[in-house]
Amino acid sequence: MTTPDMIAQPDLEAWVWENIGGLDGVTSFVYAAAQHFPGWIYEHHVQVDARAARKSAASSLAEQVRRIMLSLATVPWPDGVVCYVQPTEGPFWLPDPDGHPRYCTRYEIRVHPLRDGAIQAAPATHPPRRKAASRGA
Amino acid sequence: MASSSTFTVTDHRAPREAVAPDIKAIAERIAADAAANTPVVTGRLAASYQVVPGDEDPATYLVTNPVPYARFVEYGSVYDRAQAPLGRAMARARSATR
Repeated sequence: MTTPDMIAQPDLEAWVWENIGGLDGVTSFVYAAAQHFPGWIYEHHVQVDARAARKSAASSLAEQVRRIMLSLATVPWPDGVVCYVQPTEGPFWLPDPDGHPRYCTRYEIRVHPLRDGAIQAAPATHPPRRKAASRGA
Repeated sequence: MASSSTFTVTDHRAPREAVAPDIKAIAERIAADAAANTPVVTGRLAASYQVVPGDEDPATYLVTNPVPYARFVEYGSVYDRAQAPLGRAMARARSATR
């Protein structure tokens, strides 16, 4: 028995982090995701926080991140294609409870796999069946 | 034979007022969805989502929550991860209305 061919879902969260993870004070995570066109378009809702020692520096960092995020569709990606990027909230000022400067932004990003990104069928590896133990054995 | 017509718009707000009830219904669904998925300790946060009219546009409604710690539950902080009940409700609404 083999598993059917399937298309690998591109890991957008990792791709975003690969692009912005080098910036000090930036964190990102996906808080919602769904299939927009099943098996092809995946939409991700990503929050990016930009923290720095001063408010102006945090603001500049958030703007730097925004430019990178909006240019994701133009950056070649070996795992897929970014086909839509839209800021849905922010960047807005949201300091941490201790007053530490932070700007927060949320984006909706849609991606699709590469056309030749199918994973070939592979033999399924099921554990060998065991015979049920007979009663009274 | 070509003819032309001239119309005078007497109420510029009419198109927006026509869709306002639907927009309000969407906002109320988002607020209810957010409330249903808000973590509950006392229930204060989940019970405090409000839908209020926007400033000038009759077809703009805001989903707000006046509880002081709502922003940290929604967006997280350096101490706690974000729960994002409203963000997830918005994401579902954006998908549903597409």
